[in-house]
Amino acid sequence: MGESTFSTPILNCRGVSKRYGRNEVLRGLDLTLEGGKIVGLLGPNGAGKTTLIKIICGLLTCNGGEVLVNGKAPCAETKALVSYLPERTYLGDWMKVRDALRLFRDFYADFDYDRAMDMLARLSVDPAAPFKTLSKGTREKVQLVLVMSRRARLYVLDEPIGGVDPAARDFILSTILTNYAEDSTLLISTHLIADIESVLDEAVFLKDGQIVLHDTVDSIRQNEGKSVDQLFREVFKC
Amino acid sequence: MLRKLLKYEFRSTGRTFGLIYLATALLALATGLLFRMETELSIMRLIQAVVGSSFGVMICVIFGATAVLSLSRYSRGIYGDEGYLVHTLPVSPWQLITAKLIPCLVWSIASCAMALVALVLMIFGNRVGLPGFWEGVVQFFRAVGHLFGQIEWTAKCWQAIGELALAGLLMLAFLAGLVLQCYLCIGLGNLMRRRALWAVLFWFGINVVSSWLQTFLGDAAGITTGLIALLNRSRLTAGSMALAALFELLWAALWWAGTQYLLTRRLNLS
Repeated sequence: MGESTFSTPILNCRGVSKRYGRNEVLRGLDLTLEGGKIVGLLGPNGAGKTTLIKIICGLLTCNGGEVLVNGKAPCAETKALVSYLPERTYLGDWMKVRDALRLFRDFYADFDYDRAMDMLARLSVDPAAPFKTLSKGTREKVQLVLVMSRRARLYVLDEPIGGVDPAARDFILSTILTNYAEDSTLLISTHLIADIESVLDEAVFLKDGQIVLHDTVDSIRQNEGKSVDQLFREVFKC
Repeated sequence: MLRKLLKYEFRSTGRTFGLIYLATALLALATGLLFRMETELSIMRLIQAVVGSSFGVMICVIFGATAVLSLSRYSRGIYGDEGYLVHTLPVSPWQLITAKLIPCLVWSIASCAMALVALVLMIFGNRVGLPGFWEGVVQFFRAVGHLFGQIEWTAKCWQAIGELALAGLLMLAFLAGLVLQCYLCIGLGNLMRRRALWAVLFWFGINVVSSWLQTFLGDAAGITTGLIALLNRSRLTAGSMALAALFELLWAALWWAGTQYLLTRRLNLS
């Protein structure tokens, strides 16, 4: 993938920790991501992937450490650089599909309205359809279209292919790869490694709130002599 | 960005309030028309009673719906699934709070106005279609215009207008403080497991503490009010209202600061 044209790492996490009561979900986590990479945030359920993603996107505050997006703590300015796809539906039932497009166009200067409409047309989604009338799968696709129609510096996708059928997975991955900006960074969290390994530049293994591996996919294959999926199964063996 | 947030906030609530206000207006007219009928038929009297009762219920629904809709919009929009959208928009927490507060205040005032309009519609709806109705309406507005033309814009007149404006400011400050206190309690409740229960408990707790503080500060304010009265007896009312409005605004500012702190430092969307 293309090298970044920016000198500051797009994401820098230093000593990040997060607790829910007595349960420590993230423990002194360090992570640096450069621009222009597709990075897989891999780990089993409960590893802390979603928690880390929410902290990066400003939806959670960490108990310790710091997170810098393009050199700044999460704020209105960094949110303009980050395009986030959560694992849940977040658009209001009162909206129609075109309301969501107009909202994104109003708030994000990097949103490509025409591209989004084109993608919706290929999905045969009626822009005038109320959101509440769409099926769960279609809603998720609409949200993906909204997110990938932005020219963001950092795309953060939380379990984009979890809970969908294989055909939908192919569509989602294809949409992601054909629409993201070349010198942007993609951070994709998933536990479905085999489906995503072929598109990754780097893999980050998250276990019990700590990063146990962060390396390029090529290095992993060369040094370990196995695929990322095989290594994942070994590292996270029950 | 604030203007855009307000646009979408009004859009999300406008339809619901529009339907409530329309239903109220239609019920008011129907009530007025029905009660114009003199009838011995028991079924008609039953219908009159049902429609009349429905109108009364609708007036209560307006105010209840305003409170419930406004607070649930904040709760769901900030701490619910929609929060995943609004907290990732490139806006500041104060803009999010303002974009919820302003529509809440606007709908509250609109609901009060709608209740008055409904009463007028019910009373005058009684006369719609009768001979001379529209001539009566025209004469009413002419009389109002004539009355305004007769007013002598003296210093006392402007003083009365000023006091009216102060009274409006006081009510607005009180309402804003009440709403912001609810926002703070919702935010505090969100830090706990049983969010709704804790939000209510925090609300009672804050009310107890603030009532005690208000009593204590009110005594201090009484001294100030007395001083103002001594300076100029004729400005006693304006002085008291201005002081009361200031206190309400200070409380509102305190609740705002707390709400902003929770959104900035203790946001926990999970």
